[in-house]
Amino acid sequence: MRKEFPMLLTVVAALAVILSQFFFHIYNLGWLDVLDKWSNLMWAIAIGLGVINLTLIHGKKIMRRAPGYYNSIVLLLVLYGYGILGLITTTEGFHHKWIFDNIFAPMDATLYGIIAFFITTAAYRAFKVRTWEATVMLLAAMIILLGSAPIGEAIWGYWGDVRSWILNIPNTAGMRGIILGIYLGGFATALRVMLGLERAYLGGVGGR
Amino acid sequence: MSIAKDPAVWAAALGTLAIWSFLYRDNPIYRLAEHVLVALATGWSVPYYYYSYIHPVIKDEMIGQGRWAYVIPIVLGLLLYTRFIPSVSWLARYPMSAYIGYGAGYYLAFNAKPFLGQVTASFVNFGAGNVVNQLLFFICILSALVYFFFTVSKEHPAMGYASQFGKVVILIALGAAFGNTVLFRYNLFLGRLQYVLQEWLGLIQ
Amino acid sequence: MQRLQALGRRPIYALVFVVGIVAFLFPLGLPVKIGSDVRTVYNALDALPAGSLVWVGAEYDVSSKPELDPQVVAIFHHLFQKGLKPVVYGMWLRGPTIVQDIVAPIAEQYGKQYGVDWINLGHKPGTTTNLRLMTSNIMEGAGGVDHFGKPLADYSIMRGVNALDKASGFRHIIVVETGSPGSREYLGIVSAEKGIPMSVATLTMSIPENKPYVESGQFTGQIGGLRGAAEYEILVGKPGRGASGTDAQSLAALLVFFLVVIGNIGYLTSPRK
Repeated sequence: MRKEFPMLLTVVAALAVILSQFFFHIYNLGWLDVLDKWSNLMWAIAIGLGVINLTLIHGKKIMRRAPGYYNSIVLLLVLYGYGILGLITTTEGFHHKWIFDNIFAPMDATLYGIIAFFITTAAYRAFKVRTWEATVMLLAAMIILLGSAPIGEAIWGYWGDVRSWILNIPNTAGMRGIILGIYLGGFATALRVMLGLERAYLGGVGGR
Repeated sequence: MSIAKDPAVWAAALGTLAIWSFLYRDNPIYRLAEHVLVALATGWSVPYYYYSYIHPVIKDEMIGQGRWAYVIPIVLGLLLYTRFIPSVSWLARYPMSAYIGYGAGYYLAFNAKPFLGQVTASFVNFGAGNVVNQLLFFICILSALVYFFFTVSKEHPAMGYASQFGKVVILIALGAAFGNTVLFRYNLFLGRLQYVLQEWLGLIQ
Repeated sequence: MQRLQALGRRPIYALVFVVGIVAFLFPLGLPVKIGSDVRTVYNALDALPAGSLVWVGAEYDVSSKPELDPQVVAIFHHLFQKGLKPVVYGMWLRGPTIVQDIVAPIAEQYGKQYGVDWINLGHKPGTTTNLRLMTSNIMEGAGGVDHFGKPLADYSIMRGVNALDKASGFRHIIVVETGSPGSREYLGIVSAEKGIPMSVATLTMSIPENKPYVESGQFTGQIGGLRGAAEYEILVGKPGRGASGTDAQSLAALLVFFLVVIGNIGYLTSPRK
């Protein structure tokens, strides 16, 4: 009941999609529309998981007076304050939207942008012509780097053409090799899940 | 230079500086900003889901149109919350299993066509363009695939050379990906820098 | 010479800031050449008859705004110039919210009315499963409401639009994407199944991995990163953030190039090589 039935559910759920997609008459029964809707509703109901998880983690930190616990207090205040404000005014409400546009969005974009600094130091320190393989990769990276910005063509008129050639011929071939591998790997994993050979997801919760 | 007077611009600029402060070193302001960011991200999604989906579906479709079968996915969704109650946490396996199975089914059902599209596109129609490039492309893709044949011995010279060449092709592709990644990250940073210089400090038009 | 590879972390960070500031204060004004991938997207949209529906997948989050917002601006200028009717939807939680804020003022410029000339279905839970449901029944997929929670039945643009398919009038799909779920899901679930051509507006980072799909014809074309935005801006005659951004991008690329070069000079002259 604790493991067998969930496994059976996995197989049935996977088969429902496959049968519906590959057999015209089953498709016409409209199973997939119903199941898609159910799946979406399940997904929507799960939205509170993040809130509970954050509350538990940071609540514990506050109770234990762990280092930086005051940040956890702020986190919970902002989380519930902002969430409740949204439930009162909707996310399009003036104050809710103001916070989204002027606090959340700029900070989030900046957070992803600071990787530029780390990637620069990483390139400077690690991108060395140690082996011929590393040299090939470095050359391709530098041609693409300068060629993707207008500066490449300003330095040498054909830089953009060389960039396009690299992207269209060796890059497309290499990427396609990788893409085909990813598809095959994905098919194999999905098949393993469907056949019950892959059960790691059952171990994610307590109990027997 | 004309510094902005709009509190919205100040809030955005100070938030940006708080995140940038991490570049000097980890500090309390950055930590605070990080926590606020996580809280806002989560606090935004709950009301959005409620108003744009949960409320209309339950009110109009389930109650309004009498689609009471929706109780099944709602109960399954609620079972996910048993993760937080150790004695019954195994119940969360039910919705998880349904999700995973459904996802696996989706992968198998909807990726066959894109996959086959990639395979068929690898058979080059020689003569319909630059033949040298087409030939080179064909050799490149064949070599790249040979490189990934881990079940075939590479001791035969033909396989060995093809595999070596395939490695070069893949390295060029990875180099291209790296070059583009560097530029992408810079674009994100420059976008924020432009905001600070233009909207906040008024240094550029 | 060996000390060339011993630059510390902070001087490099400072250099990045200085180069960025210089790039914006003293723009180079370098011309941008239009690539074939961007031109094919432009031509495909340009060839559509006025009144056609174009599905716009807003598959990104605020973290990618600096690269993708300028693309969205340029694309919507084109869509409204041509009299096409965009239908915005997002598997990504915040995508439709971001696009709504960008598009509303552009629509106003062209006198386009929300609900008549364009609509935002918003984000709905379920990502891929909901995208598939859209190909079968938009009303069900959207939960009957738009981005603002208002009934879809109230909007005239939705009359006769039952599903994301050709029969409902959809002629092209543009996926503005950051990663997964994104163009691959649209390709497998919508484009390949329903035969609607699709283009991708993507990050600079994703250009190489999308190339095989463009080459195979599965994607009509791709608008890649800030440069792609600049190219599209030129094509629609609306220079904006894409153009100014690529200028700064040029100096940033030069900086990284020189740092890698001096790092390698230091390495090659080092006795411990």
